[in-house]
Amino acid sequence: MVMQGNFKFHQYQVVGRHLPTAHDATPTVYRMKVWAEDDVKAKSKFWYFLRKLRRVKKANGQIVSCNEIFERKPTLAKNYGVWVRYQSRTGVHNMYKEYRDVTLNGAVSQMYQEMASRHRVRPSSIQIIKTATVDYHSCKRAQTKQFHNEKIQFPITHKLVRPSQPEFRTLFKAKRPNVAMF
Amino acid sequence: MPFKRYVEIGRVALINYGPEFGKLVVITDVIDQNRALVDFPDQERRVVNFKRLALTDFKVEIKRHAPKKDLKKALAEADVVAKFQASSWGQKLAKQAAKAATTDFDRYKAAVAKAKKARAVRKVFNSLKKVAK
Repeated sequence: MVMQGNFKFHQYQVVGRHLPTAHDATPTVYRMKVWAEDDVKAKSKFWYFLRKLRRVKKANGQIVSCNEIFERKPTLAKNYGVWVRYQSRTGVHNMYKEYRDVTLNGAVSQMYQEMASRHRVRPSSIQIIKTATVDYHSCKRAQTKQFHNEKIQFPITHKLVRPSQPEFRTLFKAKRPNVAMF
Repeated sequence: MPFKRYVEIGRVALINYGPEFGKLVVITDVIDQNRALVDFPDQERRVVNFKRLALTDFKVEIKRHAPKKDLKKALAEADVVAKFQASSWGQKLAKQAAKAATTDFDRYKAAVAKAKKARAVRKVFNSLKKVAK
């Protein structure tokens, strides 16, 4: 299988529960899909979120399993919707963002990059509320909808002139680059 | 000047950078402004940035995200690979490849043949020059 890119953030499914006690021998098991750089951070994030939702913390809980979730069809272009909660300099906001990508990991990486560049939000201040594959009719953003054309056609207006390998780079060239495309 | 080569589904392109340099591929889907899903018989379907693609004049009739079987059939019908290799671009690439594959003996033979030809031309030229004087 072709590795679709080197992702910083991976998706994990973390399953955990409160430790069994005399009061409750079979506590409810909770499952969370978490985005993290590795499985250690995924488990940490799991406890962070679960603490906010239920009366359980790492000291009195246990992780049942932590598995990475891989993309089912990494060669199919999809529209991803990402619901995000982030801390800006002046407050907390929600956002909905759409991305065209081939894997969910790729779309989430795009999201982190965009939040950093457009809003100066660092990944530590971003919480992913929800991610979903959005079908073509439900997409909201014009920049994703413009690629929903079966007969899409556009020219590449600017030819990228570069040597085929970095070793062939020279400091001086005899001719100015011809960047014209037809 | 209007554009003649478009990024579109079915466009045949050549990869001109990276580890897959020189491979012909067909654009089977456009992901976004910068990337396309690209496929070819005997190659894995993958994502390639447009910066790495040089569009050719050739286009095959396939549907968006066509399966390999349809792609193979369309390419065979249009005979794209042979047509590309017969085009001036393809011939240039073939010549470059042939030159890169020459051995020292081949280059020696070529030098000998060039010198022989030059000698024959100069002989006639000098005799004509003598007559003109």
